Amino acid sequence: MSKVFEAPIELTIYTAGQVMSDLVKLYKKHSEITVDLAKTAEIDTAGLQVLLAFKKQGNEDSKTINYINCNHSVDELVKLFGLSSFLMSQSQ
Amino acid sequence: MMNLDAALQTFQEESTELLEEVEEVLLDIDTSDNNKEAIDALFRAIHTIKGTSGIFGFDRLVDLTHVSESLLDILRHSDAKISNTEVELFLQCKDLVHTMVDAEVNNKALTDEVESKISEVIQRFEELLGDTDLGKSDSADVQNSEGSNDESEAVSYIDEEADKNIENDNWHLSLRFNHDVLANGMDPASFIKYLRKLGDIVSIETLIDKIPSLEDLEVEDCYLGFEIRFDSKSNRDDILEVFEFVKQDADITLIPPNAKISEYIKLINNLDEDDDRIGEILVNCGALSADELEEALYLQEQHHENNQNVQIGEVLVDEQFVSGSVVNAALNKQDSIRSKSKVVRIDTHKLDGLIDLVGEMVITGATAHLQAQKTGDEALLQIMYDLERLVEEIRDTALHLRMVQIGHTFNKFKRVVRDVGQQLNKDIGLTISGGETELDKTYVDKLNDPLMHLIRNAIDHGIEMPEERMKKGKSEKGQVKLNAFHDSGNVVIEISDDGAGLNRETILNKAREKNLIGQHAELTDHEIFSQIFSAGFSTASEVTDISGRGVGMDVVKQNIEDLRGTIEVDSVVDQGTTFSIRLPLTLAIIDGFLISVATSSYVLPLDTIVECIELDELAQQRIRHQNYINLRDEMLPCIHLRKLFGFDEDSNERQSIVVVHSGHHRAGLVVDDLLGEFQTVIKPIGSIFENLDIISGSTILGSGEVAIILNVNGILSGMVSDEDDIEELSKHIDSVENINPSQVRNIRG
Repeated sequence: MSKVFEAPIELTIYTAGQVMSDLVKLYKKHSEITVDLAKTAEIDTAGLQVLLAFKKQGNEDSKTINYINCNHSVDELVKLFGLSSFLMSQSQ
Repeated sequence: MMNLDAALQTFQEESTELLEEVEEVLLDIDTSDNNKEAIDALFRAIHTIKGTSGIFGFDRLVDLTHVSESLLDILRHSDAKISNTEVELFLQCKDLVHTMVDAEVNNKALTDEVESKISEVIQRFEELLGDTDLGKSDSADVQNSEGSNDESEAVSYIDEEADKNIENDNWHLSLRFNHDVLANGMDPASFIKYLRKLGDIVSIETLIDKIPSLEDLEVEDCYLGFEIRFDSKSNRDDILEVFEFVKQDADITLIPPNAKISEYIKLINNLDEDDDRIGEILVNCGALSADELEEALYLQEQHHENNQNVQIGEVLVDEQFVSGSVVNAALNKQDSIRSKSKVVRIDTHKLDGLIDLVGEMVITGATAHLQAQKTGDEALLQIMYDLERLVEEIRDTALHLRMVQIGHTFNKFKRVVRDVGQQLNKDIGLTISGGETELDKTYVDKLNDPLMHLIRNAIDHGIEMPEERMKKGKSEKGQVKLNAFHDSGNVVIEISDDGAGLNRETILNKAREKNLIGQHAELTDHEIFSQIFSAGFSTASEVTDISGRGVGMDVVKQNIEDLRGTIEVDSVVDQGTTFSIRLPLTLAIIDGFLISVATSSYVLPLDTIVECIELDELAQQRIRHQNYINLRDEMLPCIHLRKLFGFDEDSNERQSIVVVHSGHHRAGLVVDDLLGEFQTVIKPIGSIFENLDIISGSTILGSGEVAIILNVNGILSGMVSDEDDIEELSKHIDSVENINPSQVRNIRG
């Protein structure tokens, strides 16, 4: 059963620390996390980096991190950085 | 931690400065011959603002500056002269950019009105761009033609080199951001987004290899690197300029299209990722084919064995790619940094704090001096004198820090004159003189509104329509003059026009109508003109948009008086009107002259004193009953301070006269004793004394006593109404006995 985490409206350098610590707590307890990005209307490189870090760590630890419902602004940044396939690939 | 606010503030300051420069250049173009330098200056300024806006992600600002930059770029590469319409458009653009920068920095939304204005201006720019047959996107081409010489040289150079070129029409950009780039308020995403303005990102590989494990991750650190293939017609300098702001915070390698394989080898060598991994990334993003990578890695190995050769090869490669313009840009940059280092921006609060401290030091110094005198110790006194001299120098230097030239403020009105003149269909020139006159920074800020009002008034009501001027035999073009100069411890600012002048009769009738003066009062011209400063007085029969609705001049007067200044008006029919604003030089510390009347001490500003005269008993007797003396055959009105202050008029002391002046007026103040020069720290005085215009402040003496600072201007203006009597008396000057010249002692030698 995948644990769902709802990302905040703003995922920027100002909020990345909080999101990070929230996610780390979940990551320790669960082997499968789904991050819902529907609300995230504002994202910057710092915010994206947090998402990348979890995906990367998940791949290494064989844990599943899925990002779903990308808001337009998230989608735009992910595409800008050419990370769609890495970040958005859905693993089971 | 977060430096974003500081970065934004710098952005605002820089933009404001650049925009001021833009305006100045635009206004000068209007009158002087069009030259390339001016257009270049405009281009550079707009380009810089665009670049910075892009980095902060202010897209709307980028849109606007982009079109205006494109037009400027075309202008600077063609022989076409800049037209008046274009100047007008650039001025509008400048205003909008200013508004937008303010809005962005203060996080405010733009009003609909501004938004539609922006769209309108962008559209007008695009129309102009269309007219020139060079589309928006083609501006890059134009830029490129500049570098074409270098490129053809480069091509022949490559031909000579046996080295093999990579089949690749795209630039390759390798970016490695330092850890603290995010904390410094920069977002790599903004740069990459902005890069898209210069061309197409064909492919991008974001390197996440450096992102550490979750425990080690610092969210404010940046771990990302980028390999970008970029299709653009821009030149090397323009692409690198995108990253101007992160030059310090990133390693940037830019490889031009069709570069030699050795360039890529060098890149692979320089990056600290694993060689094979880098190779893989380069192949991924299409910079190299797999074969080329293999060849590169092979060559790299060979080069390692043959180190000497590589070095020479690298040097040659470096030479080829470092174009002359890069070197020039670097030098220019250094120059600007060097000249910047001569100027330090200081928070005004810090400056005020310093001035306060100097003030306290002056007072304490005076106390120490007094104590030293009591001891009678000569050595100590000598040291005290030295110390006092130093304190005086520190005081002057500190005060000087607050002084700024008024020219900058004056220049701002060029635009006002131009705009208002155009609105009213009047051709008007602005002459500025005395721009180097310095005055306290506080004044400069507060003078803006009054000056604006006076200038608008001069153009609107003062200067006639061109036809009317022709009829009067004047030149069609009206003149407004701004002048500033120092005069006896004051700064005088004059605003004059060569218009119709004030109409004595109209003012007189209006003043009577509004009961500002008695129906039958006989007034001098000067007094009549002064009526325009009365509340609720407006001479224009038609109310216009430009100048006020009868709320103007009294407010101007109030503003000036709030600064402890005065305003006077003088006018000659059909020759023009001159307003003179007189302000004290500084607000904090003055050189004073200490006098005593009865039991108290008073301070007169030293600048207002002409000379001091000791009176012998006989002269004293004589002067007691008359309000004037004959000083070297000139009639000098006298004011008995004892009488003025309501003391017992009989003094046992031998009195003296201090001759003071303010503007054209001179008078003698009869005082009990002269106590000498005194550095005076002005302390504010309670609001109950606000309306007492003979007092301008108070100060604390070394002994701890309070002394009142007298406002000479105020004292003399109370006397001015008697001036006619004085003129009358002057006719009988021979009947008044002359003061013996031996009694005259000039204290200001």
